[in-house]
Amino acid sequence: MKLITHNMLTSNILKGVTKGFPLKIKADKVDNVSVDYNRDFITRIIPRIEYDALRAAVNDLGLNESLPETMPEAVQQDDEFLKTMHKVLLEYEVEEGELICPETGRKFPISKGIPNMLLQETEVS
Amino acid sequence: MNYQNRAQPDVLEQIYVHDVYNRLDSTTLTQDATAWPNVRKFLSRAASQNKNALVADVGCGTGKYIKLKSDLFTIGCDRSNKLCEIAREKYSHIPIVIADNLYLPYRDNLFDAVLSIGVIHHLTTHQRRLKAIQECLRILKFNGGQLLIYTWAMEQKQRQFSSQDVLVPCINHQSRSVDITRDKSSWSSSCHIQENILSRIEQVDSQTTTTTKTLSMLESIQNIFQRIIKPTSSTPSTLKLSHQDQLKFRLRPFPMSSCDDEQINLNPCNNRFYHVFKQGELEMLIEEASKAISGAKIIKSYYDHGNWCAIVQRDVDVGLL
Repeated sequence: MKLITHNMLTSNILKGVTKGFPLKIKADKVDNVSVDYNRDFITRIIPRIEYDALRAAVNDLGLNESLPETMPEAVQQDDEFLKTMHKVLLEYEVEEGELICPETGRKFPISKGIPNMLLQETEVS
Repeated sequence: MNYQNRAQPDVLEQIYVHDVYNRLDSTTLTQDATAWPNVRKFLSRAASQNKNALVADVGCGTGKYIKLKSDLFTIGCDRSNKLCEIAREKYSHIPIVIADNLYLPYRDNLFDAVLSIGVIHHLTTHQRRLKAIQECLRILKFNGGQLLIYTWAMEQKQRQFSSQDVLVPCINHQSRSVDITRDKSSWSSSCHIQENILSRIEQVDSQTTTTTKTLSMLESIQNIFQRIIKPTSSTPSTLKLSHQDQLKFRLRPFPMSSCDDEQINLNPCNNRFYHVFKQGELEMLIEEASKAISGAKIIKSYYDHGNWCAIVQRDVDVGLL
C-alpha cells in the first residue's frame, strides 16, 4: 500500500463512524520501490491530496522525510517539495501491517501490500 | 417448509460469486481477455479531459485496467482477496484494496472516473444493485466526474437465458483437454460440497427471522441449477448437458473472451450468479440511484459485446439552482 492509496481510504463505512479519516497506520514491514519521477503527474495529483493526513502517515511510518507543516504556496516552482511528495506518495510500500480506524480502533489488516477493508454484516450502517 | 425462500442475498453472493472467484485456479484467472475498446476509449477521454485524473476501478478483478494508461492514477478494488493478490503479483505494486462495492472505503467526491465493469450483475437483489451504483456515484467528483458501468445483457445473439437470474458455469481453460471422466471422486466431492452449500443456506435460514423477498430469484436459481447440474447417480462420469440445454443456454467462457468448443467445467461449485439486464433496466436503475446523489445523470447508454452499458456524469448544475 502506497501512501497515496492511504490518502484516499476512510473507515466511515463502519456503523457510527462519521469521518474515519485519516486511518492510522501500524506498519510491520515497509518496502521501498523506485518509481520514475514524473513532475507533471505529481503536480496534477497534489491538489487531491489531504496534506495533513499524508503528514500523519509519514509520522506513523517514522519516515525521515521533511514535509513542511503547511503546503508551500508556489508548489509548481518548488522542485524539492515536488520530489519529496513524489517519494512519499509513491515509493513507500506498506507490505504488512494494519490500518486503524481513528474513531473506533477497528483494525484492517494489510497483507502482501493489500489492505483488507471488508466488513462484517454487523459492522455496517 | 421451503428453505430457499429465506436465504440471504449476501450469503448467496458469498457462495455463487465470491467463493467461486476465490476458488478458481490462477491460470484461469490470469487469462485476461483484452481490454474492451470502449472502456479504453473512456479512460483515454478521462485522461485528456481531466488535469488530475484519479480513477477507481471497482471490481477490478486481476487488474487489467489499472495500468492501462500511464497518465492516470488508478486504484483497484475487488471483493475477492485472491483476485487482488493475483493482480498485485501480475503488476507489481499496483494500488489495490480488498473492498466491497456496497461499502467502498473511499472519501466522497474524489475520483475523476469510476469503472464498474461486469460487477453490478453479480449482486442478487435490486436494492443491492442500487446501493452499488450509489456508492460508485458517491466517490465520483462533483464537477464532471464520470462513471462507466457494464452489465451483462439478457438480449444476446449467442445466448438465451431462461430467466434474468441465472447461474453460469465458468470455463476452466486448463481442463480443456482433460476429460472430466478422469476421476469420479472429484465429482462426488463436488456433490458433497453442493450439499454443504445447501445446508449452509439452510443454517442461515434457521437463524433468520425476517423473510426476504428472494423467492422468485431463488426459484429461478433452482431451475437453472437443476438444468445445469443433473447428477445422475449411477453414471457420474457421463454427466453432460443435454443438447437441448446447450441450445437453450449457451455457456459463457470465462474470462470474457468469446470462444466456442470449450470444455465446460462442470464442477457445480464454479457456477457464478448473474442478474442479466434487460434493455432499459440499467438506465432505470441509475435514475433511481441518482435520486440520492445530486447532479448525477446519464450522458450515454449503449450496447457493447453482450453488455448494457452507461456513462453517468456527476455535475452540480448551477444553472438550475
